[in-house]
Amino acid sequence: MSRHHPDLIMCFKQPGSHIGRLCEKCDGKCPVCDSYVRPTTIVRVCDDCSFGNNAGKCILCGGQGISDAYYCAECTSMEKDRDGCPKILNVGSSRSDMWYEKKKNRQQNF
Amino acid sequence: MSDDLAEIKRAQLQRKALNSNEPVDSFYDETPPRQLDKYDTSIAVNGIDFDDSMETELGKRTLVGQYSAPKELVAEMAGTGDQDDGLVERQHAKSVYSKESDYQRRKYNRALSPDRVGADGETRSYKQIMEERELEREEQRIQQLIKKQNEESTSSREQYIKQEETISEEPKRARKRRWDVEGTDEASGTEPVVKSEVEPVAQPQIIKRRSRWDQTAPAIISELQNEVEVVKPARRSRWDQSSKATESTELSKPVFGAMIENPNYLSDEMLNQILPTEGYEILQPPLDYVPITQPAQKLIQAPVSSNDGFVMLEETSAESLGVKHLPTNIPGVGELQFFREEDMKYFGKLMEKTKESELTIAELKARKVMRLVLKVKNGAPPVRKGALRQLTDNARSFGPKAIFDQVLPLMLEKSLQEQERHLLVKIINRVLYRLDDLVRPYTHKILVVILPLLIEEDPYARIEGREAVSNLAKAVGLPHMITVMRPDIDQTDEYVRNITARGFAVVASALGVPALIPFIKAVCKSKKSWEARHTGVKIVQQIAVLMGCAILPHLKGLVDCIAACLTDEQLKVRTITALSISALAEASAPYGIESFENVLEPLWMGIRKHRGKGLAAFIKCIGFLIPLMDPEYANYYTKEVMVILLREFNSPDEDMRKIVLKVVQQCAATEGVTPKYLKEQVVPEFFKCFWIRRIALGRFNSLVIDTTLEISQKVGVSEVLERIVLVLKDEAEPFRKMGVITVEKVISSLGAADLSPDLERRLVDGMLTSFQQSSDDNIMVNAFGTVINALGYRSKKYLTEIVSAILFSLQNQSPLVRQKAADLIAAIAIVIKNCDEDNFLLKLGSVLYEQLGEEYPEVLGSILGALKNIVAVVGLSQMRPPIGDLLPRLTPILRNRHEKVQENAIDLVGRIADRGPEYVSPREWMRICFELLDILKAHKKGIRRAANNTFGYIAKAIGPQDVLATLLSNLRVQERQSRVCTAVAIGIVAETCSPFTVLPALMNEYRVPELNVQNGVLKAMSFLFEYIGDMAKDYVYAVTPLLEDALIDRDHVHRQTAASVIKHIALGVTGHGCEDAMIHFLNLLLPNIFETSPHVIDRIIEGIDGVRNCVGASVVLNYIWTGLFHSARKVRKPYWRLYNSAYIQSADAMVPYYPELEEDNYKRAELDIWI
Repeated sequence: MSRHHPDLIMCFKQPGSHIGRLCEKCDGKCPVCDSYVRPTTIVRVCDDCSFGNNAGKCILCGGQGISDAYYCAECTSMEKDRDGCPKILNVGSSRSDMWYEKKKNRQQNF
Repeated sequence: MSDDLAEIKRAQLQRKALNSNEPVDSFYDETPPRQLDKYDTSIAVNGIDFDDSMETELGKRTLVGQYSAPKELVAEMAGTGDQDDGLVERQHAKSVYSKESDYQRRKYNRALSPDRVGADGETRSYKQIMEERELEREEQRIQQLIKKQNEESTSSREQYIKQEETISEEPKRARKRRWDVEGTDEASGTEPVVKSEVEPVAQPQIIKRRSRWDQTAPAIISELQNEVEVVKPARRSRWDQSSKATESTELSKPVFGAMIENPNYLSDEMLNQILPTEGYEILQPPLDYVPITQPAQKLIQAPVSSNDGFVMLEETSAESLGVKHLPTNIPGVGELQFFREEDMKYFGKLMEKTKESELTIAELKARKVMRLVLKVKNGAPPVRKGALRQLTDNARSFGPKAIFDQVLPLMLEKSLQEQERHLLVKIINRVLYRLDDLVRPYTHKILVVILPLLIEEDPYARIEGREAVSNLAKAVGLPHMITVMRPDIDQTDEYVRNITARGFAVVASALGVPALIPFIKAVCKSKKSWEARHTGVKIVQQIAVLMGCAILPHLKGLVDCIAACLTDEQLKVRTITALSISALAEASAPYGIESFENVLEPLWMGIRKHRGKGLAAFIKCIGFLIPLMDPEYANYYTKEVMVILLREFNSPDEDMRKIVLKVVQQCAATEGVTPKYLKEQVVPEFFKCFWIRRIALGRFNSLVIDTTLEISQKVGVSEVLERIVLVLKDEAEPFRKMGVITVEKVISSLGAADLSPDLERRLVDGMLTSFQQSSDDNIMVNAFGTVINALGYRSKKYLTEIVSAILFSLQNQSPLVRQKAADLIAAIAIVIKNCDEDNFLLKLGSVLYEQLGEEYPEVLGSILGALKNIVAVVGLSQMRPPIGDLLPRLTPILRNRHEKVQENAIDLVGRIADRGPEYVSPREWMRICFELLDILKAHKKGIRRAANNTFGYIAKAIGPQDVLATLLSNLRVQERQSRVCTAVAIGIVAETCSPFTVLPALMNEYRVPELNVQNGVLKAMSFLFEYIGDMAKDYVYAVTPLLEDALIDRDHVHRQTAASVIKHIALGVTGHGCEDAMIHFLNLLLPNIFETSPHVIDRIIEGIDGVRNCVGASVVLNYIWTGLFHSARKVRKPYWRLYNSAYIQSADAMVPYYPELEEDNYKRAELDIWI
């Protein structure tokens, strides 16, 4: 995800036994490079990112998770799957800009 | 009645006095303040707000003279414009201020902490600040005392008046007070009683603490008076400071002298000049006439030039221009999206025509920052981006003063809109990174504007606030944060304490909880004030909420901090402690019960001792602790607490009932509680109290639903559904809906196996009835679908009834009903198939086919969805109408722009292309191909992906040539998104039809001397090689010349895209013996490492990483060594980047290839052997 949005911060803590989930919109994406091609290694997330509010949530956007996340074959061969927990911790500026832009438009139309 | 009369009379006298020839100033000088603040000054004269009138007054005095409509007309327009000007109203309605609650608005009452940093930038000592806090508390205490006394005396006075029954001053005052209450209430919104009933002597002090800006007129008048003559406060008042501190920016600050003059007043002499002397008579004004001392004003009013008919034009100043003609083009800034009146206050200086040479350096910097901030705030996105970048890059050279003096006052502007606020916070955030410890003197100022974001409703605002606070904390360090925020911990104002506690929680999560624990412990043990203890406990609560299970390592420490407060003497502290412990327990569930052992006993005692809100908190706390306990303890506690819960089922307090529900939910979920106990003790009472119509309308019906679900997990489906089935036929729709949602949740989590035939019949019957009656489609369809799916084969006997109901609704006039019916078909198609009722499906299919002419896109989307599901379960060969008929009908529908239609249509077409392309002629498929190209422009990513996949299926069906030709010609279009999607589609076609069918045509296309096409080809190759993986080994040498050419192109996008092609090829062919080609690529790639554009450099580095994977670290390292120790940092940097990424991935592989050191001192022969 951070490939197209460099301001996103990944957790990178030591992954535990919990499997990372993806929501309907992000389904099939590799959490490192956003590729949909050849999902290979299953994603493990750290304990902080798998309990409480975060349990079962999409690791990329925080939506309701529906499927397991996989690293693509290329990221696996570059060993990007061993960097640590890939959960995104912040809301990127492009998303929050979009949110406020939409909100403004909504108010103008209203 | 007599009271009223007397009052009116007195008011008239008063006005008469006003009307006499005295200068208006005397009004302020002579009226004793005691009386004034009792008169109904709170009603604005002529409905004109005092505040505003002063502002316009100011504007008018400096305006250029203008000729305009007669004054009374203008006044009339201005008067009505006030209330009815929709534009202005709407403008205001959009601001953040208008959406805030009174509680949130308290942030405007806080001055920008001049108490911490004076106007001159001097920091006042911590001791002084603490002394002031002490003073404030003392003040508050005395006021409370006075208030109490006052109340007593008033009540006794009223008794006295009743006895006397004479008209005297006292009863009037008593009445007036009530007027006053409303007036101040409006202004402050909080604790009206306190403010109004305080003895007048004390009043100025109270008002003084509030900000001048959000007061209505009367407050200002009385304040003015008090300031002028009555109270000269001993200590330096913050009021004075704040005005001093912000003087430079707040240009429109009301000038009180201006209000007194009345330039619109026409003297008798003037009237004589204007009007003919004959035929007119001068009348006495009626008694109740009051001259308008505040001129009618507002935006539209034209400035009326003074009496003589001609005036010298005053010099045009920024202010005067700003009020009327708002510029869109500011010198040095360029075009803006908008420029509002309020902006003039902050950016007015930019309009002044002073020469740059006359300004000091500091002023120049301030101007520069002002321009940039204005560009960020009001500019169009590209302008904004550039300005933001400039601000960030030069932050250190501008210095914190120039930046924050501009940004922080803006954040407290009331007309600020959410997006503007977001942008300002963004500036602060970015600048914080750069300034680092330079921000220290501004820490508190920044906190004053940022902390209120933590209690916003909008989650994005909260996140932003959190980010800003944690950046700040990281920049200035914990000790400084504590010193700065400490004085706010025992503020008398609850609002300040609340946001401070939240701020501390963010600091804790940013800098680590253990660092903050000693401080929290000290605060919670504060002997000085209960407010401090309250805040300390609240910090713990907020930490738990914020950090979730990450508190587990520090749980013991946190609980120990607040444990003692559970038996505090203050009820508020005890309540918040219970809430904090429950937050801790919630965050740490299901672990950590051992940390809570100390608090169990006081909690248990507390439950017996408390009533009302306190009890609610304690119950909540126990409720959250129960899931943490061992089964036998949990069972014991549940039984004990259930007695109280059952008692509180009937509590009138809504909060209490919410908490009770939550606790019941938690108790039911624990292992130790038996179904039998629940069935006998809890369920009957629960349904009696909570499954009633009134609850369905209330706010906590979702909580009831969740609790019912939780209970059903223990007691079984039948037990619960038996009671809910009745609800499904209730006449109140919200209640029915609540029942339906519950049925869906219960059935989907537990299945329908438990239902008896009788209950099953009643359930289906009830669902069908509510399905037909309800208006809310989604919930009903989902629920009905869930029930039918859960019943499976058992639903066969109801299918006839259901299908006929569906067929009937499909013909309904209302589009909503038709849509609902179609959705239901989609939901239950699979069940119909499983019940071997294919005939029903075919029948439904042909009816839906006939309905494809539907004009409502929502309904059409649902119909397509239903058809898709029917095709999926029946299979293409059995489908009626035959696919050959169906698909041609779909082609024109693909042109529909509605997302839902597009999505469902493309899914259906894709499925047909995938499973049975032979049913349709190739010509039809080509036609569909052309339609698909348009769909590539769709906003929704899912639609674009589906379209791309469909290209693959079609190419497989009719061969890649035609499809490819279509796609390649599409690379010439202007739109980027369309080109990218086409590139992906070409990649997919290549994958499905093997690359050798596509690559030649693609490489041929690269010869077209057009930037877009060449980039498109490269992009397509990038996807192609990503898709085909190790198949690439056969094509490497074929594409090498092309990539060579791209890598030495002038256009950096060529090089960037070629680098990503190389990455994919290299990773695909790793271990397949193509190293020579890769080294060739590496030679061409390496000169690009000095690129600066972020996208380009990222791709180049990725390409080199890919090649390293293929040829091994050793070869690549040979390229790197030379640059690592270059004397220029610009050169060293990219080399180190390459080295670092190599080191991360293959440190071990690098060891043998480290260069051999020639110097004898460093030579270790034995290490060489080891290697």
